[in-house]
Amino acid sequence: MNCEEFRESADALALGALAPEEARQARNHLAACAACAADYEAASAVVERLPLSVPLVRTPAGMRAGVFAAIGVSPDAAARSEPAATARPGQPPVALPQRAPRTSRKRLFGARLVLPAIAAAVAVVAIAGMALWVSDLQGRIHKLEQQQAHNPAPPVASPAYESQAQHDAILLLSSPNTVSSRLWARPGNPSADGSIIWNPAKQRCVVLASKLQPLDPDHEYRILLSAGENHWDGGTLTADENGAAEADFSTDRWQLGVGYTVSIVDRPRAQGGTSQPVLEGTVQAPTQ
Amino acid sequence: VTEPVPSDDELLAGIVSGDEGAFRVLYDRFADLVYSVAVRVLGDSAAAQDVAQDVFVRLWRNPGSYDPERGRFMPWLLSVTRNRAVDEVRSRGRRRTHELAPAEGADDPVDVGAPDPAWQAVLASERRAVRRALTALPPEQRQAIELAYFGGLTQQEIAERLSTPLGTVKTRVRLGMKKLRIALDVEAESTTVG
Repeated sequence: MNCEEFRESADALALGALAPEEARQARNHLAACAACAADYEAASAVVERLPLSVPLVRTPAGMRAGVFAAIGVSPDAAARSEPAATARPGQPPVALPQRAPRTSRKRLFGARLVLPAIAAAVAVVAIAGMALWVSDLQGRIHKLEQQQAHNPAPPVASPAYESQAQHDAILLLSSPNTVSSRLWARPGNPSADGSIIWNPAKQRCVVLASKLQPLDPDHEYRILLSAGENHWDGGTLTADENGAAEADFSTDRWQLGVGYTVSIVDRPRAQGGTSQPVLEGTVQAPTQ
Repeated sequence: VTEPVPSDDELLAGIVSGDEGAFRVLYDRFADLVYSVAVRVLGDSAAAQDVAQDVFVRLWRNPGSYDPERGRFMPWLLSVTRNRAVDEVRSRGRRRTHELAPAEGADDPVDVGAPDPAWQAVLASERRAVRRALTALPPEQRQAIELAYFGGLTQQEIAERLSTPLGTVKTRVRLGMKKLRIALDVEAESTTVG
């Protein structure tokens, strides 16, 4: 292989896309040619950054525990267990909409019997790595536990969850094979935040958003879904006075092995207006 | 309260000397990314988890497999992950069902709740740059590059998969990579052709 032939193949070599014999010849040339080595390094510098392009998917429940069990090291004392303690006090949760004022938080998880179930769900979530959400839930539960410790009277019976969507979210998170992902703020609404939780087996998806800016009356937030060339509407998303919103929808038309982009856009209610993306994220389905 | 963020190499040095805390920090820093690369290649969360777990277990057991003399840690770790995932695809004879990454334009945020927010911010900016560069490519060039890298296919296999002449695939790879070099500001130091 001469220099010209090598330069034709350098990119493919760096990508690992040469057939074995071609790759062997290219490497032989590379070992003997400093000029081509520089060219190959430039190709490699591109290739080594390609994995950064992947959609970020949170590790599944159990992976962290699995790794640390396999190497016989305690998974504790790490950052994952700290967010509840280090989360900025007084800051609203990012993913979990904050409807109730702090003073009425005990209503969130009013029934004593609900606690273990939520704690279990939280444990699952913690492993899944949705640190902010977890820190908020853990904070709420911790507070409630403290309240119970100081006040043995059972809390007033009240709805255990703030909303059906949050109830669904916790149920979805506590079941296996759930795919969760963060919704990232787009430039127009940088403080907004959210999460998507999708359970392919149950064919349900929950979208939670917080810190959405108030809209003019003739605008609304809509959920838009897309996969490849296909786009469809996931319905409206109504934010409360704190900018928190939640919605859930069926994913019975979603297919395994496909990545779905979920966007929340600010759109005029009238036809023909331009949508401004506010939050966006992807969920990637397993192939089976 | 800002704490100094340990560098990857500092963490690696800790792991070499058996520092479990360093491994925890390193795991939390890279677990999502490693898993995401495996998911991208395998398209299967269970198989991806196996690969990602294996990458970390091996790293703990044999941290010397990374040689700082030969480059930065993160590219090495992600390349190891990609290669193991591609091996897994080949050993299973799997065909991936989706070949173009869906995430386009989603701005990567500073994940303030995650451990290592400062580090996450740096990573987010790197990820944005790469994603922008890839999404700016003509789709057929991006497809050829992604099939090679994430699909683990040779140019010949890509040509067969797409029912496209081999020469066309080679051209797409070369043109696409050339644009990525420019977009990512990567240039060969020497341009002398021998």
